Amino acid sequence: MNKQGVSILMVIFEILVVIIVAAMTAKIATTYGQTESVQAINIAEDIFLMINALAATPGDAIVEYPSNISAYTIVMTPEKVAISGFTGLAVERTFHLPDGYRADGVIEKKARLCLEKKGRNILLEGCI
Amino acid sequence: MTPKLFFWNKKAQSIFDTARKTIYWMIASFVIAMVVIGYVLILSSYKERLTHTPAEIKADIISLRFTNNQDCFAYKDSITDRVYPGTIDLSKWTQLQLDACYKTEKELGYRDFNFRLELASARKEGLTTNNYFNADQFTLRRKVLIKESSGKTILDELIIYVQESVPGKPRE
Repeated sequence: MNKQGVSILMVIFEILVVIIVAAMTAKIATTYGQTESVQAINIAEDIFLMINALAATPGDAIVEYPSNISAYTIVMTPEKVAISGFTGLAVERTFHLPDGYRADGVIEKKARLCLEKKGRNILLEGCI
Repeated sequence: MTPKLFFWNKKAQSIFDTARKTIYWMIASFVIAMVVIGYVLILSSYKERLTHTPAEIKADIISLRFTNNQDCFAYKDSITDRVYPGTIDLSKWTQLQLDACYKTEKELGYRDFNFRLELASARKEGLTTNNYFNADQFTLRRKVLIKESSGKTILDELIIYVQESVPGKPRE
């Protein structure tokens, strides 16, 4: 076997391994570095807590979410709230309201989000 | 003699190089795999730290309804229709009322928060939500007023045993 040929092959192999490992770590870092998913999770957790706080409030109430959520689409149903951003992946949180309570609303590309409780209805809407 | 030895050394040298590199790459590939896995774990735990909400806060907010919502146990004056947050109507302290107030999904509800409620004075028996399996992770305590059917108001303590989640539904 040609010794020089074998050593060139080994060098090429080693360079390939370095490139593959560098590309893998860069891809992993990019995936985790997408801040949108972290923010979406935090918004979902906050809305989950806000809904439960409203369910515990006697009478009517309105609360505004204190951040700009124009980058997200938020859909609320009687059992869960789903937040999706530009990647299209949705973060969901499930909640359990007392019997007779309803929760719904959709908000898309609006800067300010308000949750309003009227009687036994909780509405998700843009703030006026 | 000398040319024969020289030929033998070259072949042995080549075999030695190949074996050395094989062993090196076996060890190196294992180390690289461990480094990449460690990297992924560090990033995912960092992301988890950024998005973590303490379970005590979640349970505290979910359980607020028990003492503040008239559709749970909160006392509501029948004449003025005023709800008294923090005051429990003892006549509402029933399993039926708790089921109407907070009920998790029948099949997968064991993954959600479930509660056992007791009054410190033990005036009435404890109540549990539908997927509670005595696997408490922590306890919340709240000072409350109790409105008895006689109209008397007494200071008491509501003890809320919180089951955050269980890995699977126990067999019945």
